[in-house]
Amino acid sequence: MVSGLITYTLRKLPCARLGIIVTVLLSLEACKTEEETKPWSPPGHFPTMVYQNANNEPNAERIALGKALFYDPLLSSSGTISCGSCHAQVHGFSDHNTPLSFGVHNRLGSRNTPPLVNLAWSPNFMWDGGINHLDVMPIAPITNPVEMDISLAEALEKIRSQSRYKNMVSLAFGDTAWSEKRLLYALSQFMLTLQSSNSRYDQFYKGQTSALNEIEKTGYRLFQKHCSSCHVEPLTTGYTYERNGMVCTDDMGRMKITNSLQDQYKFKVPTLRNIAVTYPYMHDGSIKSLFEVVAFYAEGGNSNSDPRIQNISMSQTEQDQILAFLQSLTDYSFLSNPALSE
Amino acid sequence: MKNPTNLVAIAMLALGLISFSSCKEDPIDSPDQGALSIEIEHVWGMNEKPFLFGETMVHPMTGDSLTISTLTYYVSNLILTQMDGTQWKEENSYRLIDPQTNTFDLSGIPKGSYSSMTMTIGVDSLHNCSGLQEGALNPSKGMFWSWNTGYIFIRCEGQSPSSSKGAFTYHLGGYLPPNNAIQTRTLNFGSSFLEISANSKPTLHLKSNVAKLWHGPVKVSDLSAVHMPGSNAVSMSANFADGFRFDHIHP
Repeated sequence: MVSGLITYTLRKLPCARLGIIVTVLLSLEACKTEEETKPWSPPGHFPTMVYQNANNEPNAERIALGKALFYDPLLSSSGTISCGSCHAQVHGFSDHNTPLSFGVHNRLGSRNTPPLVNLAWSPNFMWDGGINHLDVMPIAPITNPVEMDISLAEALEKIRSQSRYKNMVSLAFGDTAWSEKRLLYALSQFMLTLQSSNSRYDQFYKGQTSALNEIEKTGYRLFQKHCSSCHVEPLTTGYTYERNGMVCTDDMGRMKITNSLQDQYKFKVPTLRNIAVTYPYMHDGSIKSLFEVVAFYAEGGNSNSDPRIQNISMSQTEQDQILAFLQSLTDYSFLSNPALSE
Repeated sequence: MKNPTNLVAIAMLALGLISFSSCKEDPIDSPDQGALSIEIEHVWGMNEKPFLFGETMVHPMTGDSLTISTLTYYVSNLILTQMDGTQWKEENSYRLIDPQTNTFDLSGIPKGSYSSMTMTIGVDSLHNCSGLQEGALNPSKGMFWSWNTGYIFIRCEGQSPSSSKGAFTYHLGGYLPPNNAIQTRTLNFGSSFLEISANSKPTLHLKSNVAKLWHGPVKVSDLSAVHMPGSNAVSMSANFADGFRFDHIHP
């Protein structure tokens, strides 16, 4: 009805022809299909995504804003720590090969930084699964005194003071106002683009038999026999909480969230994507090499391990084959994609 | 603007736009709906002594000296019920109450005589899992756990010489069984009725006996801190919710 009035008004003006052209162009714009405007689509061989937010559909401007915020140390009390400080692309978006991470003022965290990858498929976050939605995930590291040590309100004040964000937020959300929602929605949008689905394993999984060599194929079969009940394909995790036997710290794991003794020392099964570059391993970063990880499982773990692990027994040859296979999970296109880079 | 027809066209456009914006139905002006005020008066103990926020009070059951500096809790999912069972549920019903923010209005209530109100102390499960929310549910309000996603339903802090640390901090939350601390109370208006109509705005007066938080008894020397979901959070929040009662209706 309003567009009818506008067209009527335009017709009365001498430049009526221009008005008609504008109206036609505007309606053509509206005819664009959703497919053409979506910045990304999920990999075809992955299961259904879990992330849900009808008000945060993939959008190029929000992704750009989220990326800028992700790499901005402004979001820390000291101005020195950004998300990217501990989630480095070259390491599959985990930390720079350190067991625990340093936040502001060299404060030390208590758990190994997990890699940020394929988050749209993760129903929960953190080693103990304490966070149940990606949109509120960043609140934990941002406000944690040993990480970025800043309240959301202070973070927003700092962002408001930066002129470079004014245009970006306007493009992403329609005006220059800032809120917790916009900060977190933008961060989610960028994090959702951190998708790794193009390793040689993925290519083999999709049917390209030449993508893995014979040793790797043998290793893959061993992986399917011994590992994939927890490291479920193709994401390489089923996001369950398991007790693999790592009881070297005071960390109660999942029990911290559920209060249930059954969950003591259980931790979320981590993704194995890009595992070759995300060392050291385990919730406390206590195992330095993949060789040692595979050797640990090959000997049946320890007396604290889940019975399924205790049943594992692998020869050195088999361990080498699994190690070869694990290397094929490295997705170089993901690690070097400039769209994700600082 | 030399052409007078242009002015007419623009005026028509403006008028059209203005008339569209006032198309929304105004609930308060509807003859079939009304509004209501609710006031929660905080009291101390069964005898309903005045609640001295920020001042020292002695707990009637435990004898502990308590100086409460923070008392904030969620009141949500309000439902008004008529004698025949007809219910009205308030949409987006989430509020943070404290001793100084203890009155609020409801509107868009269908005309009728209401005999009870159901209230939830806390935030329902769904909204503990729905990601980032705004208004009273904004995580910046100090009522949200960042490391264990969920709301702090009742936050009570203060000083007490009976506490080994000199202070007490109760952050009561948790929505997953068996540690579900969400509490629901239905308050009947007895022989009174809440009359909702377009011509009036009654006030529903409730009382909240804050001392019930330590009902049990919960001596501060035994329990001065609760920081996560668990049986302590469940029992304390149940007792706190139990401390609410209907007082009277001011028509």
